[in-house]
Amino acid sequence: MAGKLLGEIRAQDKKLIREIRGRRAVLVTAIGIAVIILGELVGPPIAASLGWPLASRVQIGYAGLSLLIIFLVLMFGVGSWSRFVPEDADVAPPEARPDVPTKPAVQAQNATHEGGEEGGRLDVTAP
Amino acid sequence: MLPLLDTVIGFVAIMLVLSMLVKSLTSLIKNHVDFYSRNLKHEVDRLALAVLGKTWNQAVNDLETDPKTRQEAAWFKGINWERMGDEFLTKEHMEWILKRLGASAEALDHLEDRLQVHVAKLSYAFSTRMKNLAVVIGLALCLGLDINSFAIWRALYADQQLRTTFATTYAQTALQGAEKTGSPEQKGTLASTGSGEQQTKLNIETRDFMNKLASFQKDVAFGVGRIWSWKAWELEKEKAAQEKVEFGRLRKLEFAAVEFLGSLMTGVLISIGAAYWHDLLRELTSFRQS
Repeated sequence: MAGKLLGEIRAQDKKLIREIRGRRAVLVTAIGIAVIILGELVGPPIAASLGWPLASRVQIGYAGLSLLIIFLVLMFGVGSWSRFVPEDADVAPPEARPDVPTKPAVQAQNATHEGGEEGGRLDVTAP
Repeated sequence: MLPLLDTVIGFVAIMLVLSMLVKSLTSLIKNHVDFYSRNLKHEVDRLALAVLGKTWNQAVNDLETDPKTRQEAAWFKGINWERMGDEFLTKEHMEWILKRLGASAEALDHLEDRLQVHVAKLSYAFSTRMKNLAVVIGLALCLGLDINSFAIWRALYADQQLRTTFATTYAQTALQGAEKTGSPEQKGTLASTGSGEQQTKLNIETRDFMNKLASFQKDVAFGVGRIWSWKAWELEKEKAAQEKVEFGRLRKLEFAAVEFLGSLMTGVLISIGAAYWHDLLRELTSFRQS
């Protein structure tokens, strides 16, 4: 029973992390594409005023794409930054964190899982 | 067979030098940013929460409110985490500290085992971050300077004199350089030094990196930074004219795509690590001599 509950909590955590990462990936990609498009629009007049040849448009695209790749790897690469950056919320006591079930909540959940009037106790004999 | 072997040796030597550059820059950024001590503090916080039921800062604040223990609170507040390593997380130290912070004897059960888990987590976080940082720096260096492995390989394979130089003298210099700077990875920051001395060491590291980069750009001048060079664009234009093809947008994009993919691949390759390229180069040079 305890194992099942722990499994559920871990699965919820993983789902949450995936959601956060997904949202960030969309945000970073959107910003990157916006920068590239803006660069394509604004770049050529600037390049022309500086006397650069037309190749600069492609160069701006190359630079934008490079920055996008670097930011994506930095954020979602091997062990993302956010995962290892200690945050106060991460070490706050459970009662201060709405996402962590508190003791009464866990007991109530146990009662629901045991499903009976005698619920509320951990069934240590259960597989 | 020998031209191919020479090309491989020259290519591996260049990859080794680039990996050394990435290593230097990673170390420089690590010393500036200091994520190791932040992770150490995080692990201590988690341990304090598990043992005391409150965070480290809360426990120290509680000590401060009591006039009897106010002096101890000042000592705890004075801990400089930037000067700490994982040797701080030993049973003797933590038992003494947690007892001072109000832990009961029962709460300190299996402390040694729990500390081992925290130390393992700390090492894991440190090594994964270093790998992440190395990949990012490798990519940034190669994409930024447009260091394209395709162009390097092609230049080495096509030019016999260049190939021989890189397979002999350059490879030997790269090997010697790697052996000289092949010290084990230092954890944390320049922990044992004072702030003035630390700044001097950081300045030396920065200067060393800049020298290595300048030397690389001087030695490996072929195929590097083509995307930013107007001369390279002119050459592409001439090539297109010879082939009787229009040097239009599509052709320009093709040129940029080749440079981008080549640099991306080089970035990934050099992030594998200097140790790998060093061993490979040593074996290849001994194979060539035999």
